Amino acid sequence: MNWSPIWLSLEVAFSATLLAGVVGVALAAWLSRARFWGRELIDVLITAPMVVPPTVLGYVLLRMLGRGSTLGRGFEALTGGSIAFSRTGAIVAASVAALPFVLKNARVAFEDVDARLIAAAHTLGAGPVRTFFRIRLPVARAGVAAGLALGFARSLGEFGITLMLAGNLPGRTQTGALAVYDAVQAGRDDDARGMALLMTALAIAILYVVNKLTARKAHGF
Amino acid sequence: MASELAFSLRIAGRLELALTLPPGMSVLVGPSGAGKSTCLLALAGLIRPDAGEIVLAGRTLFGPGIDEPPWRRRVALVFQNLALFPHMTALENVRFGIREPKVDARDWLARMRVAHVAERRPATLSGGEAQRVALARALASSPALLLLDEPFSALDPALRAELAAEVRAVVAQLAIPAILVTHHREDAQSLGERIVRLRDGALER
Repeated sequence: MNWSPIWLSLEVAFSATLLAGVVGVALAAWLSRARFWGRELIDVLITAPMVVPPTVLGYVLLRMLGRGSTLGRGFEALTGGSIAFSRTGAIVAASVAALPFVLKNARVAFEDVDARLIAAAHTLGAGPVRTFFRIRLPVARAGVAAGLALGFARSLGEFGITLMLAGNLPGRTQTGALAVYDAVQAGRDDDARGMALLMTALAIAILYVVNKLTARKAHGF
Repeated sequence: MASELAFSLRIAGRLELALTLPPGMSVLVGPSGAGKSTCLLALAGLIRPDAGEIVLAGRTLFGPGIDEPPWRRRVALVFQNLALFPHMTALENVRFGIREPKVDARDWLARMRVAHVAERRPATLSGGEAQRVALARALASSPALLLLDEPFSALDPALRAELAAEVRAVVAQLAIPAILVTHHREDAQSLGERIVRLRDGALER
């Protein structure tokens, strides 16, 4: 079995979780406290990838970030590389897929933090940044970690957006999910089976960890 | 007096009062919904009054064009539910608010007679111990004003009186103004040096 698609999947999923983690946690923290018109619109736009067909999303991203787009050209001018049909594209695709999971879970976790803890921290001299790192994030850590784990699992299994934005280039953008598809198409059943088993086992292991993180202790008498 | 608190607050439909309080414990008493907690939240900077002025020890915290954020006011507030940080030990809770390097968190725990719970998390503390840790945390932050929102209400009357007397002594020693909110009319007399009665968001005449 060719292991490189699995390694690429892991590499992409780690980078995407990092990117979606920073953006998603920051947005969740902000949305959970801010009161302004359009707050839910931002949430909806970021959560949309959960329900919009991945190919549609991939198409939109390709138009937004492809070589013909302003953003794509800007990125190329800055870095010398392109987003579309590159490893960067695979990471962007996986990040977009992971972001809703991070945002939704982290937002619920932040909203669950007792407002009086935050108020108490403020009256004890802690400004918003210190209060975030010392109080809000530690108190919400289980929900945030669950969001990150789910986001990682989602980016590990990403297929449609990646195919549209990054393509299916063996050794460059062919992740595990794409390699399974490729192996089936080419009649390499052993390869497909091996990778499918491995990726299923990984996904189940991650979900188990998420359950452990989010389980509330049962109250006895 | 230099460390007195003078304020006037107006919050539409909820509160309209003006007071000057010298150092020492003042008790704000009144029925539920009289605006007691609203008054404390506004003094701490946690809600914004529609109009008014707050001057603490000669420093304007709120007024025309001025609205100091709560973390710069030096106004410590002990909530009814205490709001101890659940992921920190008692000692870490007290350390969190220390502004001046010479202040020692362990000293304050000892002063509130809970030095023995320093390494324990809030969830493992008794009601009385948790109250004392919350008070130690507020006092260790070197406040210029101490606000207590019914922090003793969950305690039995004997313990309530004991703890109130201790806090009153500390406040007198620090020479800062403190406001204790209670709905126990019968307690008010024993809790502080002066009593302010509030009804429907205004001073009761």
